[in-house]
Amino acid sequence: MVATKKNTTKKTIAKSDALKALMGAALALPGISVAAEQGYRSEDIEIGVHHAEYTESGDRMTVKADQLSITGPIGQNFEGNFSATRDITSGASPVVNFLDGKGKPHQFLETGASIKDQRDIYEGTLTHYGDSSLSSIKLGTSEEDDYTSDYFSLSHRIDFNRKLSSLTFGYGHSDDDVWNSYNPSVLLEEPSIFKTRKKDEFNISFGQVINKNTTLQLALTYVDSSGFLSDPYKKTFVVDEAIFDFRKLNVDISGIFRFLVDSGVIRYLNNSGITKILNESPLISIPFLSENVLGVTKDDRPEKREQWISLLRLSHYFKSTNSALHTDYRYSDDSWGAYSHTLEFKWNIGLGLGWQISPGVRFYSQHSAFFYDTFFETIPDHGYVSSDYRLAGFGAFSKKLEISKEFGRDFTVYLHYEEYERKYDYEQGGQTNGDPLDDFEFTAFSVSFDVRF
Amino acid sequence: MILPKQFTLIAIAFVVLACSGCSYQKVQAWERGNLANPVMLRDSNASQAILEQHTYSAKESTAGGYSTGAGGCGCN
Repeated sequence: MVATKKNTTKKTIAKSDALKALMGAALALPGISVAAEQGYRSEDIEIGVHHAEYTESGDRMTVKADQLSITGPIGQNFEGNFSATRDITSGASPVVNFLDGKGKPHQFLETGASIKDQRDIYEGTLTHYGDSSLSSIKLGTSEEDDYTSDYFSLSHRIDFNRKLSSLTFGYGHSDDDVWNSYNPSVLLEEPSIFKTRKKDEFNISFGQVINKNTTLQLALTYVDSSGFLSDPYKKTFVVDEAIFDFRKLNVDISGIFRFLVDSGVIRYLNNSGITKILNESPLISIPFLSENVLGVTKDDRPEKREQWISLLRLSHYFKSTNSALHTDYRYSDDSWGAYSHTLEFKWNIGLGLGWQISPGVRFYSQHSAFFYDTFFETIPDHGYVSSDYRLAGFGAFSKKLEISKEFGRDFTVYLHYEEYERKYDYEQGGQTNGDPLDDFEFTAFSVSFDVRF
Repeated sequence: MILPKQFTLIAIAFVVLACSGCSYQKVQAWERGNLANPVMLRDSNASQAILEQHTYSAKESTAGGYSTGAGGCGCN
């Protein structure tokens, strides 16, 4: 009796594994949570612990993130997932580019401990597993010192054609609040702002088993963002706005400001209340002085952005090496003109005894937004300006390696390492507005443990 | 809302593919063993996949296209 029960359990596990992998491979579609993407409801309770570290080159940002996740069956057809994540960011970020006497831009970074931010994220997902469908609803909230986001998403997947094909419909919405938190080391501290933004996202995805070794997925996504889409900390240097052309002085203004921050002058001005007194005066407020004396204006972007994203995923199994090559191509266009191409290859190799190794490469190329430049001679007719390095023209190349090991059926360890290199020269199809001064690299490392009961 | 030309072409390809789903080579249930191999699951670690996409979205202009429902952040 006991032996029979054990055999039945083994068969159930084998079937569950096979279906899980099949559904995950063939039908891992946008529009549903990644946990549910794995396709088949497990009867186990799974607890995952995740730790990640991210380090940028040149004394810029470091991020440490920790996550705890629990997934388990609810009733006959439901599955619940809850996760809590905390990431802590510290270090430096580019703020503005000043010109030297030769007209060459120099990046001014908020450095040292000037940026320190904690982000707490809580998410819950409820998934219903039907005979030929998968539906899920996700609720989430994210809170930082200067940003909050409340969001939800819905998705519904229909399997048809004897489960060789599927269609998924997804919708997501987020309501965000953004403001600038006080930091005594920040240059040109400005009066507080409090703004809102929201995002609506629609997608549809089609998955198809092509043959016994190949699957295909095609997804289309439309994103509509509106509200305050600017960055409250970033500035732009506009030559015509300054009362004096500082290029004539032939000095490195970013170096002077760096000295003022590092020597504690800025901290003294902010902490003593002098900055506050200035800001309470309409004529000599920091924004007024910044813009009219130094030519440093606020990052100012359109209050609406539409994005159209298409994704093609092809996965092919190679029996001779017990491996699968996953190829992704993503094309994105948007109303800001910042269109991009992303090409990624990931090669999952099964080594036996529960080991899997996955080398991968990713290439990304982006066209600059129509209102981006490293600096401006004058404010353009459309009135928008930004020197945020993320809106520049550039390319980026990543090398990745993942290693995982299953210990029995109850315990899995994952290691992930990535080197990312961003370069202005890497942009494909002709270089658009940008500059090598924004080039940087990062490395990311993470370790995860999954335990099943 | 004006759709970009490239997106329109891809949308047409999407419809053609979706409509022709039934005309693909029929893969019988007993022929799905390779598709069921764990290596065919692109991302076996969900947390890592989400973290990667979040990192890219904080450093690049394009975000999304892989899944819905992620919240915004004040990332620098």
